[in-house]
Amino acid sequence: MKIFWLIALILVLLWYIIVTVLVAWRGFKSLRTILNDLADDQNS
Amino acid sequence: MTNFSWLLDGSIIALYIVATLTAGLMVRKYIKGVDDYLLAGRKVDIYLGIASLAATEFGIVTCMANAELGYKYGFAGTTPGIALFLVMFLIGQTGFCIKPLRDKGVTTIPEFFEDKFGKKVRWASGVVIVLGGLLNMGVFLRMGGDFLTTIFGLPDGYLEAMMTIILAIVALYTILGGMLSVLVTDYMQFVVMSIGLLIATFLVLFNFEWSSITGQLAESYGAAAFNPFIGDTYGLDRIVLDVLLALASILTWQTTITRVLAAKDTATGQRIYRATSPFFLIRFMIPAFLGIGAFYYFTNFGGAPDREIMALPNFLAIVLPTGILGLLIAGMLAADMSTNSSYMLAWSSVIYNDIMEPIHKKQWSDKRSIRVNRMLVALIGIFLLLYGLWYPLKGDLWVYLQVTGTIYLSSMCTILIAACYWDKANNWGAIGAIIVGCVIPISYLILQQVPSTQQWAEQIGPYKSAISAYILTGVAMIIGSKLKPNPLKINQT
Repeated sequence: MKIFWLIALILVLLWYIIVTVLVAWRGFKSLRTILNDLADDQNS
Repeated sequence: MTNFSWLLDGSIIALYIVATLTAGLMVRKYIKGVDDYLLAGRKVDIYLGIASLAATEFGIVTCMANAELGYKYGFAGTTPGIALFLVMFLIGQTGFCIKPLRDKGVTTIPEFFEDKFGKKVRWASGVVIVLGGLLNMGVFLRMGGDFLTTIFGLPDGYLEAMMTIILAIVALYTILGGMLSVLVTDYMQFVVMSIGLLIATFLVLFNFEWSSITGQLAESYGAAAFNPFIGDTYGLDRIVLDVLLALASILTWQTTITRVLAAKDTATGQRIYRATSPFFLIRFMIPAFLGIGAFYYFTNFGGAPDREIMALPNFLAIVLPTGILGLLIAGMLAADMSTNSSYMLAWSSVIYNDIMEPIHKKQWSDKRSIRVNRMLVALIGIFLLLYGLWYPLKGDLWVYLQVTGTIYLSSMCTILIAACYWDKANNWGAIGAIIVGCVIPISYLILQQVPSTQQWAEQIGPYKSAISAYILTGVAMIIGSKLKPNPLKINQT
């Protein structure tokens, strides 16, 4: 069971690192799109 | 003892707070209507949805509660996370309940109930959601304050000041910018929180050997530390409750379901659920592992705090070096702020949308609606401060969260499933489910607080009480729905 939890922890950490990088990069672009859309809505 | 340096760590934290506040306040100019204020104009996509949902559902309270589970039960303490992960992924995959909910385009769950069960059920559901949600959230500030004062190395007298400061910062940008501010700050908070948590976990992993940590667990708790089904340390009733709670919270917890409702379409809502599901495992695995690290450290080197819930901040303040500590505190502060802001907004949206619906009947102007929502967020903030100051927490923090959450989760989950998939469900059944779901957990909380009934409450236990609430709300829904006379049959006779 100790090995099982070690593997689980490593997998979880790996997933977390990948998602953090992905969300940091793509989330910023999404945020900009939303704010631009809302600004356009206000101007129209 | 703490490695906290006011100069280095303090500067990192101050920089983070200023950046969050500035970003949160800057977006308030884009708020035009109440839909923008409560759901960010329903423009949330997958990446922002993940960041927002993950940041919201991970606060200092979650971290401390789950670290306490790791400290007390070892890896078996991650069972609720495994249940949440599996249930969330399956719901995201199948669209169970969340598909009809998002397809309808509602703002809150009670609004969805109105079509099938009428206005009274919508109103009663709103009251129950707010009651359960606010009681649940009531301990957030105190726990956050406890964590920060311990890690800063401040005396107890600073707790109230710390609670007020956290709340004031969060309330300021939530009141002004609504969901849009929450989204922007959630994004920043997710990134900062993730970096802080990852560094802390790797440091603990490299500072203390894996074999030593697991060896200590095996020596102290035996095989039960690695398998919740072994022995009665964790217990079968607790596992059953974890699964029920996972199903109910993924389907109906207002802050979670808001991300589906705010998604740009149903498919995106389902993808957000599927993609965020592993985070619900992380949310337990990482704090539980840090709690296990604390258990190993205090067992071997002494100096364990009186309360197990305080093991994590005490441990981190000792083992993390200056600089990294500042980053982690900024991360924890980030986690706490995003949770508080989303929760305040979620409950205010239910109060406005469902409880106050008979008053405004959706006739108010956007300007007036936003003003009222801002006032509601401020009032919730004041309630949290007062409740956090006087409520004495008894037992596990996670148990308190489960019991108070059950007040609405049990009935709302039953009613939602019935509304989506049972044609014969009606308002009698829904009202019955609300009453039963409310009475059982509140009675348990009262029994736990009154000295003469404390022993009785201990005998029943929080898990059996909460499980019975879930089962009996289902029974009440069926019996109530069957009891109501069918108008068609009455007309025929």
